[in-house]
Amino acid sequence: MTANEREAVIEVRDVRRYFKNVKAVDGVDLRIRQGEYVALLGPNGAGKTTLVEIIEGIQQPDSGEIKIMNKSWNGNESDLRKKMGISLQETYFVDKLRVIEILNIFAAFYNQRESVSEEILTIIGMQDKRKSYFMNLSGGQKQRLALGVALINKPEILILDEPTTGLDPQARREIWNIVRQLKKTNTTLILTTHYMEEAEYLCNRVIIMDKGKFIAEGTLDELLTRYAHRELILFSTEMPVKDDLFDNIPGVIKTYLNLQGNGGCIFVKSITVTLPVVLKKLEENGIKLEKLECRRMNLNDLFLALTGRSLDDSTIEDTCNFAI
Amino acid sequence: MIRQLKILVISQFKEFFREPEVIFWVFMFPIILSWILGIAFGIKGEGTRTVGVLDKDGSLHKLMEQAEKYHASVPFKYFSSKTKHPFKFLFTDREGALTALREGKIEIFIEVVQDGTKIKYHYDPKSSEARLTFLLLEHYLFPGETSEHESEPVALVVPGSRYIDFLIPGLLGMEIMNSGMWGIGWALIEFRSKKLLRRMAASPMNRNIFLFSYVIARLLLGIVEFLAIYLFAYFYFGVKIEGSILALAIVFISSTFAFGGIAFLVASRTASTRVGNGIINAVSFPFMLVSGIFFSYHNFPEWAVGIIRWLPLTMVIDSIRSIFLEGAGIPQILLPSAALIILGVVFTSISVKIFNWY
Repeated sequence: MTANEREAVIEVRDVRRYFKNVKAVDGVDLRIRQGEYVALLGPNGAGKTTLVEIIEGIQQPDSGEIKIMNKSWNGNESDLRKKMGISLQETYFVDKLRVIEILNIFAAFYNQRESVSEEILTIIGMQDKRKSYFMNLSGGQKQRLALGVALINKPEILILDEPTTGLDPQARREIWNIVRQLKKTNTTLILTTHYMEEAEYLCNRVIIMDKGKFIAEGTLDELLTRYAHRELILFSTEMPVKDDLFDNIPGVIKTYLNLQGNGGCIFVKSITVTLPVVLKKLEENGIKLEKLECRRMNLNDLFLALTGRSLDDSTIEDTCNFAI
Repeated sequence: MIRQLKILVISQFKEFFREPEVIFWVFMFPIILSWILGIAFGIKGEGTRTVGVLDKDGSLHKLMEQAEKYHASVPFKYFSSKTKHPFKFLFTDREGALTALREGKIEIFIEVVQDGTKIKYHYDPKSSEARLTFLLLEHYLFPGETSEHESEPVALVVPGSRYIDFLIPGLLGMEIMNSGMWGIGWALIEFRSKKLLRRMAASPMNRNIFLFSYVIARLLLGIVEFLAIYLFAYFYFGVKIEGSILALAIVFISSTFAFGGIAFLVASRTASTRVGNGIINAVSFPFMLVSGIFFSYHNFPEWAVGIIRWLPLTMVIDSIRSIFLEGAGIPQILLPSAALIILGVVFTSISVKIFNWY
């Protein structure tokens, strides 16, 4: 049975959530099937957290419909809570409670035996920290504990909101390994992140979100196939170039220049076809090249091309200034 | 349900006892406060014994002269080499004497009658200090066995005659309020500000049980706090409970419910601990000032007293005081306790409706 044939465990239909001046979620549709690992990729403020909190039943949408396992939140809250595992963007627990005590509290909430807490300790690799106060844990350990709490009911649906934000690469990888192990259990996962590698490493389906809307969606393969022909030329020059210098060159999709005009990036269909023309143009105009980088687009570049902003909150301007 | 309640209560205990500052404020601060105020109001001042005197025709003066003469003639020094006697006399009328007793200025007053041949000693026979003063005074004024005079001790029970008797019920009431406002109100606001409340609410945790666990934890911790303060006051100052312990328990439970309700309401929306701090202080400080913790609210104007007596903290303190000092039982505290419970129920119901879990 393939993913497409399975029934949707999460269905989101035309969900909107507006705050005063911000359309946090602006008409979003989403179907997630059992066992799928879905990444919501986007920069800060893209609306990822608002969307997952609506799915989690923590926030109410202004309009639209949410169904989890064919049930709406209204009237099914306690039932759905039992089946979900949630790790919020920031998770604090009581400073002076020990790791095992925190797990035991949540085990009680989910009506699980305390032996489950011990299993969780093993899963998150924190047996040696079982008696540590929460306040004495490192950032990575706190996140692993938050993940452990999310797993305590062996959830059918797991929603992790930026589980590795702010962690060092080692700590991040530890979390990834735990999450990857869960694939065997047929858990359904929604993960929000602004790390491209995280989405690539963990999820088979990636949704790129910006300003409350989905701007690209598909399996990693689909996205790559759809955008693989796009490539990127990054350059800097000794003196500014004219805005329209690269217009009318065959194969150029879009050009961005930095403010000074002495650097930028050109999205092209093929580097091998377009680069010689670009170099020739520069030469004809007597502009000397300082630095040059050519590469296939990654998800971050794709996001840049789609929105003019980078996933890590840097702008196209920063990218165009790469040489500086 | 029971398991959730149990584990929530136990974890709150742990949280409580792992915070040394909290232990200082809850246990030590009231004890230190009562000690300082007790000392300040001269409870343990052993130096001189102030005695109220009702003496219309000035006969005491004559008696004192005779006594001084006698004591000078015997080798035994009555008090110390520098002072002839340990007494300080406060000449007043009956009203003044009773007020002085209640304010803790004196423990005994004498009434000199029949040209100084008869002295009536008015004091509380239960007070060992007063008994000692009586014996010392009697012995000083009428030394030897030759004096012809008549002494008549008159049992005088003026509840709350010492300041510490007045103060301890006030402090206990204040503790119940603070325990609720800070232990419940502030704790919930902090949970919300740290987004822990939202994390817990995103689990199948029973929310009513969660809130209820705070009241239960406060009740149990409150008993410990109550005992700590009371035992100190009992052993150090001899403060006693005259009335019904059961009535005291009822007042204690109903007031914990009342302040639990107020705390829930205070904590129902705020997500900032600083704002929470402000709100809690704004609510509790006026109570602390007017509800008669440290001094009687009867000094306030008549119209204000009419309002003050129905404030929750005033009802709590008045009830505890009536049990401690006037020997009140269940009938006397039934009305305020019922009012406190109703208050708690109403405030809790409103809070549950408007409580912001996320």
